[in-house]
Amino acid sequence: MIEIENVSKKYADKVAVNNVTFSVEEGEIFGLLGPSGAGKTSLIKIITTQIKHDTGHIKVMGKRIEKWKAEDNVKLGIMTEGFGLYDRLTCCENIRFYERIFQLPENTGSKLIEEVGLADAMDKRVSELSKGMRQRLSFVRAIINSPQLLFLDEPTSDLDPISTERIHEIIKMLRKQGTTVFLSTHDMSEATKLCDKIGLLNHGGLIEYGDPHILCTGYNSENMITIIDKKGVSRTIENRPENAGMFCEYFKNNNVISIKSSEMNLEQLFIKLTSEKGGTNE
Amino acid sequence: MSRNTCIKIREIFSKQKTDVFRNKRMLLMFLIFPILTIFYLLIERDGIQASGMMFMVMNVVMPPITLLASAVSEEREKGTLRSLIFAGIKPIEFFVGVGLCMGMFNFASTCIIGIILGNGDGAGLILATAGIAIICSMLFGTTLGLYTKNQVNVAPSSATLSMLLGISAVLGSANEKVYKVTRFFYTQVTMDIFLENEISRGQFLILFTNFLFFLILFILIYLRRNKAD
Repeated sequence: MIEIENVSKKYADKVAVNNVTFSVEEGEIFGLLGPSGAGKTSLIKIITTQIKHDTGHIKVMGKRIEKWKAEDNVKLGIMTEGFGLYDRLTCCENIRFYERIFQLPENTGSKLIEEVGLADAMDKRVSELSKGMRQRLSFVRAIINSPQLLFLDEPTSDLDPISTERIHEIIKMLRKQGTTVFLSTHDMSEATKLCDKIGLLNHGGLIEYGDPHILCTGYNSENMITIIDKKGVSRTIENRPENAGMFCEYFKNNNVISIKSSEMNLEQLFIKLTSEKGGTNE
Repeated sequence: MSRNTCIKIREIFSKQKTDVFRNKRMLLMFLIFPILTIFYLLIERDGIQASGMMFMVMNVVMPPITLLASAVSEEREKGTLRSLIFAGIKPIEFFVGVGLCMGMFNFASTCIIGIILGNGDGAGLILATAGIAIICSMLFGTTLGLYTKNQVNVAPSSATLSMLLGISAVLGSANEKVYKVTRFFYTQVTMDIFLENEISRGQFLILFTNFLFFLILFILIYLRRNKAD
């Protein structure tokens, strides 16, 4: 769906994107992670033809982006930092406007508004909505045309856990329907939960790329398991075949209340990599 | 023009219309010169034609420049213009939709001034000239909206420039030396046509040249901006 090969972008003397190569398969959820200023937004803007890259090649839906036309944009859904909503129009009017622009059947948007929990705010002007409500409405606007490729930039950053869960469910449902999702997020639990693949960007370079679970196990150099028994005593044992007997002993006595692996979660991996690596794509 | 394009322009027009009706400051800007004309008529009947024409010139210059600049700048700043482009709307469809709506409001308020003045002579020529002047002003306003970084910057620059253009025509009518310069501005030509109820070939050429100038300026500034802006 997206093929990026050796793409670089420089602003004056600052490298925003440095020789990045990766691909996103059709129907997968790809998460682009990275600290602030890592180049995530620049990369999204390059892929969506908002800015031009200096070097490299990009194909979106099999088409070189140099040949991308305005009409091709209707296959995309984009939710970016600014919410892209009309303040003086109501939720309903905003969505109806896009419904008519895309020439969709009436009420396509109303159903989505209900799904994201904004049914009560239907007739409220956008200027009267909270930040989280605007974010949900912006999400509806981005998916109203059932896009083949959906770009989401921090889609749940201002949402409460219930609304976040709703948005996650809709994203998963979209994937089932064949939509490819390109997600930029700071929320590592969101990335772990949703993404089939992630790319970790730092100083403009891609420092890791792949399945988030496999990446986490790959960095489990300690390979230790900590067991906590009913008395609250914890014991850390190296995860080796020779120690299998010790583990069995704990379980036989029905003594175990908690088991923890030394495997990093995505958040720990993110911190480790972004503080360690300089940001090259080699 | 394809049916698809017509639908998009109609929807943008309709959205803009709702937006104008809900924006009191915008509405007031469209109504300020008709209100001033009524006010002037109530306190001073003599010389109302000349003063009324002055308000009419101001009306075809100031509101379209400031409001178009502000509308375009707001769309850019809030990301709605970007959303529209990703909804498959071509920039030309957006500018035509917004321009038609704002132009309609401005043209209506110009007609109101005409009705208040009550002189039907040469109404066709006056309205045609007003239409061209409104288009020139809207092109200039849109260019300012595209050029400036945000709404905070656009307000002072568009207000100053529109005031300069509007007042230049008034000053030019009162002072010969000023007129030597301002007679090449569409605002001065518009004022002259409004007052004399006739158009010369030279005046038509000046109007046309002004239109071309603003169109080229708009295209140049538009091309300098990329989609992300």
